[in-house]
Amino acid sequence: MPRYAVTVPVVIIAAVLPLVLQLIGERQVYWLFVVSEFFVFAIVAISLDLLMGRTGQISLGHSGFVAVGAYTAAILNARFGVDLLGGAFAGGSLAAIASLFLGVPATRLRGHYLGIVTLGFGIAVDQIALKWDALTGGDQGLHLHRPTLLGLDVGTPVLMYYVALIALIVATLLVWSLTRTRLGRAFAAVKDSEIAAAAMGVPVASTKVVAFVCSAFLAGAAGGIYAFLAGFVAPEDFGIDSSLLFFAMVVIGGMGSIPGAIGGAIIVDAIKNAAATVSGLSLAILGGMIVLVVLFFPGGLKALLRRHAAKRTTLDRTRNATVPLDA
Amino acid sequence: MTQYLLQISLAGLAQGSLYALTALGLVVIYNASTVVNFAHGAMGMAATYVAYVLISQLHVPVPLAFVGAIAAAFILGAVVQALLLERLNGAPILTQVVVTLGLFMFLEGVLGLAFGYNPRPMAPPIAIAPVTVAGLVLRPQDIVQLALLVALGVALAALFGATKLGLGMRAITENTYAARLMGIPVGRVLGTAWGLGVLLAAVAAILAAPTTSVTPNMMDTIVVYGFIAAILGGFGSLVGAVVGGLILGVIVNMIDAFLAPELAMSIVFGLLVLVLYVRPDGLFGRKAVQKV
Repeated sequence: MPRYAVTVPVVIIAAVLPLVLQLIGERQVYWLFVVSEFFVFAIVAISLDLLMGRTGQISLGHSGFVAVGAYTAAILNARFGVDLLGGAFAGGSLAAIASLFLGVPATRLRGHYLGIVTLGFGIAVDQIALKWDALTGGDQGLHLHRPTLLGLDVGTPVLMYYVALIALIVATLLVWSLTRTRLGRAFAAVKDSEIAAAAMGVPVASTKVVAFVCSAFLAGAAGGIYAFLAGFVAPEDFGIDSSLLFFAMVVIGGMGSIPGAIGGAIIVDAIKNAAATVSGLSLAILGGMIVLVVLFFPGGLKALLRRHAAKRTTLDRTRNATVPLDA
Repeated sequence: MTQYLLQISLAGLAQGSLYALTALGLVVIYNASTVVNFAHGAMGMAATYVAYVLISQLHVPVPLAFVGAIAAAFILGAVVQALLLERLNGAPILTQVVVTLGLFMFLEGVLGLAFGYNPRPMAPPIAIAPVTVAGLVLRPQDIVQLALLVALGVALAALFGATKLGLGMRAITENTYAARLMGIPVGRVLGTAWGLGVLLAAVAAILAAPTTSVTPNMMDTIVVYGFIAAILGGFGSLVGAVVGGLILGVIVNMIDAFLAPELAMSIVFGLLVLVLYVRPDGLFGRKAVQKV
């Protein structure tokens, strides 16, 4: 089955969804926000997948990058009236700079240590946002102005929905193209075997740093968009819990695949929203799912779908057999 | 001032003994199976709930309840090893980290569902008033904690150094395949190592419970400091884990007293990154050689 046979209908459905919600009329604003928020989370999942799924570097503090981006955008907007594009770009840039703090140690740390150091980064960003209240508003949070984009007012739920959707499409295309460059192949080589990659002339250390920077930029930009979407940022949006949610999205979706990351984001976001009223429920379900996925479906959602598709055409089976890294 | 500093260091050592116990458990598991157990704190927490239910709902005598909880911890560790980690033998590090993280989320979520997130009180096991020695206030519980740490540390060192079980664990770390060929019952040895490691986490959690109260996330802070202590100690060295935990306890208490308690973990992580720059294998670690 050609790739666009799935992608095109999905994009069309996403594009007409506001109209459908308009026709149904019930709690339209709420559902628009839920889906827009999902688009932003899917960008973060894609960014984390770039790091974990493509390069094999773990991050347990990815919401730290989202928080840096969101606060950067919120502060620039509240103080200097910077618009959505500028806020997202500045948020991504600052998150990318912050990632050097992790990426450079990452060149010397293997697997486990990196998990712990990134966990610490997430905790530290959270603590600093709470403590540095002159800048961040502390636990009171920070309110943004009505969002504008290049001079246009995009402050309605429908317009913000399209902004988030377009941002997700752009992020998808960026990562998809990136994986097809020399750099993307270097990521894959580092993931498969650092020693082999080094032997083939891939600069392992700098490749890891670049992976961190790219991933953090995307996560930070998503954070910037999130700040405008919610109109408000506060530290509790970016704790360890949300880092674990992003982590769950990537694992459940299947590492090393953009459709997998987006599918994982749909599943995790749906469970999070459906189980929000019972504390502990979403954590228990997602934790159980992660364990089951690792034990019984190592490729996650992506592999399940692909297995299904492969049963139908032998052509796909041969393609999957010869190009296992193909997304 | 010196008096004050000494008092803070003393409290830091007592707090650090909890980090050290947690780190010891992590190191025991790591030494045998080369897995860093991200569910470590959650497993200790689950065992504390066993003690809590035994004491406050089934009215079992306190010492007996602790024995029951520790036995439950050992079984939990062995079962997790047999059901989850055994299947992932030889899988990439990332996969093993992922499964223990999933387990962490699962345990916290399930206990949150079963008992809610309201903290539940746990009476301190030793209710003796603090004594003053040379102007320093000594809490009996702190002394018991430190003594327990030393005793368990020595016992573990003896286990690893002088018993057949410890030899088996070291052999498995070296080369699982060869260990199996030499007739070492790999599954049983690994199960025992996981059981012992989680037992240590349970000891730390039960000791912490009177101050933290029993909640699903009671171990979150302690286990993160336990990780840091283990890294400082070189992840693999028992002495390193103990020394790392104790040093960390003192540092954290100093930060709480003189700097900003809200930023304690951020400052500690900053320090950790610095230490890893200078000594990538921790203070007591041997240089890791990457094998093809």
